[in-house]
Amino acid sequence: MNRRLFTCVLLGLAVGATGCRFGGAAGGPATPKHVVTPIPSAPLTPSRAAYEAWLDELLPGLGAADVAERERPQQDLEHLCFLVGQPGMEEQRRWLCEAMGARLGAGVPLPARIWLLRQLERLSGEESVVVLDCLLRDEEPQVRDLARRCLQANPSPLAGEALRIAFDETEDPDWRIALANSFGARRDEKAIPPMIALVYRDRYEPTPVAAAVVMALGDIAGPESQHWLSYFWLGGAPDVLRPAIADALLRCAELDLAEGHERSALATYELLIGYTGPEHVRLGALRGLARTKGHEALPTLLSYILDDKASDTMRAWAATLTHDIPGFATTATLAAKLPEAPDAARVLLLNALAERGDASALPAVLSELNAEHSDVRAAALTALGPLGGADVALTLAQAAARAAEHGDAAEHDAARRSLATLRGDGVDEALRAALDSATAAVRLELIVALRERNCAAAVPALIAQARHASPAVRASAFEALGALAPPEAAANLVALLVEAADDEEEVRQTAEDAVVAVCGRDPDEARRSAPLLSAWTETPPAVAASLLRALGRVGGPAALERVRAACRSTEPQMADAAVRALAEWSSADVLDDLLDLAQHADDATQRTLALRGYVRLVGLPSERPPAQTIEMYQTAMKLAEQPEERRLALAGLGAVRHPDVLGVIEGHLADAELRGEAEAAVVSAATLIGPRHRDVARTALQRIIETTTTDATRRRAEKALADLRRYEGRLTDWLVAGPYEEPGRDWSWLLDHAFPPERGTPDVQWRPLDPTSLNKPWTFDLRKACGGEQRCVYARSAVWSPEPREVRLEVGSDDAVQVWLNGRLVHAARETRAHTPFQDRVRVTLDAGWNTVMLKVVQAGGEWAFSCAVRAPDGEPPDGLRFAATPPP
Amino acid sequence: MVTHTRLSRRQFLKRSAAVAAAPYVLSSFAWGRTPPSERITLGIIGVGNMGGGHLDTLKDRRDVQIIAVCDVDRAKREKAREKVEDAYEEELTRGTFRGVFAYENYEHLLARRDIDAVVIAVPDHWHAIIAIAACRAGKDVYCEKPLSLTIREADALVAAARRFGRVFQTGSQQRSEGKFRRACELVRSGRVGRVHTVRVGVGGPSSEAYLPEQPIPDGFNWDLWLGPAPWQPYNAERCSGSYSGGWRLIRDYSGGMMTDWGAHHFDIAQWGLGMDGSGPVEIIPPNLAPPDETTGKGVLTYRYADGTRMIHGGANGIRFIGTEGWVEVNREHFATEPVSLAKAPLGPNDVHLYESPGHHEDWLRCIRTRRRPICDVAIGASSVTVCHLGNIAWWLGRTIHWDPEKREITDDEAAARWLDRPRRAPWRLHQ
Repeated sequence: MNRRLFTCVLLGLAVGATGCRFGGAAGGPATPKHVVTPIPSAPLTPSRAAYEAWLDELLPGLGAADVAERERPQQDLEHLCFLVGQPGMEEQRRWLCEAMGARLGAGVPLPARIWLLRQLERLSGEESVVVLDCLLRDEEPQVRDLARRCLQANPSPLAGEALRIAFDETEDPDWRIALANSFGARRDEKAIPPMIALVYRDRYEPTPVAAAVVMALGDIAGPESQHWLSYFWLGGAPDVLRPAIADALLRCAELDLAEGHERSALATYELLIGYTGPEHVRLGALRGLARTKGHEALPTLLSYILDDKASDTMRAWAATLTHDIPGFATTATLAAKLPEAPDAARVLLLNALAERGDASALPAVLSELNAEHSDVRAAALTALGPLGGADVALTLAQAAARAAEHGDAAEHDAARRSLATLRGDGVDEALRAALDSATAAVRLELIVALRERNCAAAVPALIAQARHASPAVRASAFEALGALAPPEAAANLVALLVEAADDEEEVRQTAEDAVVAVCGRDPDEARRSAPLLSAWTETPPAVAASLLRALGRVGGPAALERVRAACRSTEPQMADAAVRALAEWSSADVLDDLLDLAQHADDATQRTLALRGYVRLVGLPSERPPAQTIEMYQTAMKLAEQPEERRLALAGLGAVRHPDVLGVIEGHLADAELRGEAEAAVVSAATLIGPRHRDVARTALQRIIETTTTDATRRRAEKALADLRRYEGRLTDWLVAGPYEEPGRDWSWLLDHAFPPERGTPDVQWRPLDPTSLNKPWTFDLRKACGGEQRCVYARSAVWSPEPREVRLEVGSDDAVQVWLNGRLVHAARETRAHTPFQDRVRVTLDAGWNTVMLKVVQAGGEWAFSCAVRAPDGEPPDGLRFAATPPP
Repeated sequence: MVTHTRLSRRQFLKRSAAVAAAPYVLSSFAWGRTPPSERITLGIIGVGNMGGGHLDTLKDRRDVQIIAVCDVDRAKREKAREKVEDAYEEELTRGTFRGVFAYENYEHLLARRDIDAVVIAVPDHWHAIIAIAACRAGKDVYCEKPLSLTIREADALVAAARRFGRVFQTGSQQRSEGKFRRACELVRSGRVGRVHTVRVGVGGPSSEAYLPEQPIPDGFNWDLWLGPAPWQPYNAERCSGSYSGGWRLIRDYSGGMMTDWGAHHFDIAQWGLGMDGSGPVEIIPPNLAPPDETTGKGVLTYRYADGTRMIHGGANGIRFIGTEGWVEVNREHFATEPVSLAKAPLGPNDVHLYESPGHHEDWLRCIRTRRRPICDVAIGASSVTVCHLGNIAWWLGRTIHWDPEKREITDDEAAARWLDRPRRAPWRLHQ
């Protein structure tokens, strides 16, 4: 179709539809001041004229010079476009498109034209082609390109014609590229001749237009594209274009394949598989061959897998491609190649067989367990996991035992992993059945597998194994029992522990661990020590010692009573075990007992054990005031008979989070015997208190840096000092008001609703917000502080600046947040989200003097938290700022 | 006779990339001593918030070497270059490393034949074009989430990665976190009974931005930042990488929190439902959805072919609700009903999902084995499709119907146009 005829067709359509008012908007009826029309009424209007009038009202706002003034009218128009785009509103859609098209003339402000065109991009049909065709020649480049994009998305065949004519007309290479892109996007076969005509003469010149045409041919695909691309490929296209042509040919072949033209696709893939350029083209061709030929491609894939000269990537890729060729025959072919394949290829084949999950490969895989190369055996063992079932369970256990014996970690891991993941009926039963007749080494592997498979039904069998002659088997059985046995089996395990009292140390220790684990599984805490206490009848000292250690770890009032009694025993072994049990007690209930023993026990070892236990327990988390903890450590320092215990106490002091502790520790810096520990403790304590007491911590750290002779300590102190610098600007002192909530209202309503702190009401009850994380006192867990869902709180803090200054306010929140600075809203994040410290950043200007920062943190559900910092504009720590929950009076 | 002669681990790996796969992973210790000549060479495209994070992690690995960075912001790319060169200071001093090249235009980085793989951490509107170009250039790809700006871009990405046999990891890294995997394993093993509802708490869609023109900062290529997106005058907010603002909330560049967080949480929802590669069949926007029982308001609702509902909104995270309990998970939280379910062991006959050793680690291992990584491009594509469908229904205010097999919106031509967006010349979607 020539240009003139095309224009006539378009004009005929357009005149029939609109009277072609194109270009007339600027001279149309006087445009009234923009009045926002209620959206629902617009699509209900029964006539084209109503749309035109409505658009005329909107037009000044659409193109307003002030960008903010465009928002409402542009959104109104978009909303209407969305409505008329729905199925069943074809007539209204056409009216609106015609009305928009008629207001795209050069006299209309550019922002309005752009917005109208962006609506047509998603809405226009044949009725808009005439207008868009004219705009392809507009003087404004943005308009021209938008018109092209509208036509690209327009379903009418005439849109394609318009684009082709524009392509014929232009001499501008950039515009040709843009139009070629559109041909590709539209998959416009009719555009192939003009594109070819253009580039044919220069087909050996790697111009940008030629490259764009090649890419468009690839998008269009089909026989004609393929013909020309093959012509270029075989005709010696320049190297720089060959990857693009190869890519386009691959896409042609994909389309061929999708449309059932296998022979054509195959020809392309075979053409490209011999390409000597970049390898990824051959990877694509090989994949195409595999998809096209299916099972018949296997010889080709195998030739790559088995070819030592092929690249690692190509061989691994060929093996991966076998996954996409289904069927038992493929499995059989791959398996049959195993015996003759080189070792590396065998691994690839075994991996491929594992991936297929086809159990018919099992015999071939099993035969590879005897392979010479360890990695092949490991791959075979790995493959048995997905391929095997109960019938290979014992084989795997035997292989694991053999690998353990030879110290081959890869095989051992592979066998164990496969044993743990074998699926299907009867695997657990097979493992249990094999237990009784297996060798000790195999038995051990069977027990490990039962544990890994969470086989609770194996508990009775495991109890029997706990009496096996091999210590390794016994230890393994106890380990499995500790993982699997229910609390009801505790008495049985205690009986085994009693029997194991004289066993090897490792077995006895594992037995104790198992008893502690199983007793601790009883949901009734008071009952946990009962099985151990029941066994306490005329117990020999060695057994009693074992029971006491276990009691110490299980804990509870009844256990404590027994252990305390045992401490008074005249039997040294029992008393010693009881003191050890107390020293290892898990709660602070025994602090007084231990202090008493540390002060008064006759035996020096017991005094030492008790003091060490005391120091350990003082260090457990507690509600105790820090001053009392410091005093307890000082007591321990005084009682210590050897430097080691004093060092332990110093280390404990280093973990106290209170500024007073620094003075206590520093009092020991002069003691040459303790100096190293004291310095380390100062650094630890300063690190802990630093976030809230920066000045004190900074002074202490600087003193250590200046005086220490230990490099490691100096480095730690320097790092702690650098961290303190990083923490500058993180707000840790806040007042909080709320929570506020409204029944039936969700987080988004709460975010929009102004509660008293936001309204500035004077009677708001602000209260200090305690830090919820001592390590990160700038992060506040509001769920701990103010609990619940669908609610909000306000948090307020103050920042002093010596002069007006631009800073970066950083805010993190879970969920939504609003931020006010000196009463002005400066930031909002309207979403439900997880808290990442300081995730939002906004530049603000602080006034000279005190500035108030107020956050509204809204909770939808789940976690609820916030953080806030003031940084220099470049994100560095700020200088010269001061922070407080409230400005000083 | 069985003997225990062995090639060295490195030699064997060199010959056989998939060795010791177990069955889908490679022994990690093998990479601990990778010599420089066998390192995977990387280019990082986009070195802002996310790209900077990738760079910080990857520069310290001994099995990769970053040799190029790219950003349209000169200050960012120069800072990134310096940071990497600091990390490789020793090799620079020895003369065994030629330094890091900093590019403004990704095409120049991709043209380098000595780069094996790229990390793409640019704004969403650039993901598809750059990632497809990377595949065409024979690079393996780690592309930040959300995978794409449109559904057709996602399709094109899958096609390109497959066409050239590329290893393509989508940056939805929650798939590599044990907590999320565990939640999905419980759900898929039937531990909460039949799942009838999934709640996904993420923010809403993006919208148009109305921002005044500002002067373009020195060294910032604004035209290249915009790339395929419609031309707009510069404003710092448009190109801000703020996690809760900036380009993430602007429709020309992103799908808003629906895609930004949705590419994490809808992704996990799809994983838990076993819907990778598929998706919902009906999407009902908030204005048409029946009131939600917890808020009393209409919320975006997806319906799958088996009747399962997926509801948007609520606390950040995912809650799978079944006939016998529920599992709830987000980055800081894991809860179940019954409570005992949280620690219930899984047996060999339960569903065990791919256990990633870490999102970067998994990608790098797969580059060597040519296997598909935990969040392969096709998974990223089906997850981001869920997000985009929600946005389309939300923006248009009407229910849309989706054919997950044909990947088409049915019976609504105007809605179907939202499957893609025409691009500013000369940029194109390489299909």
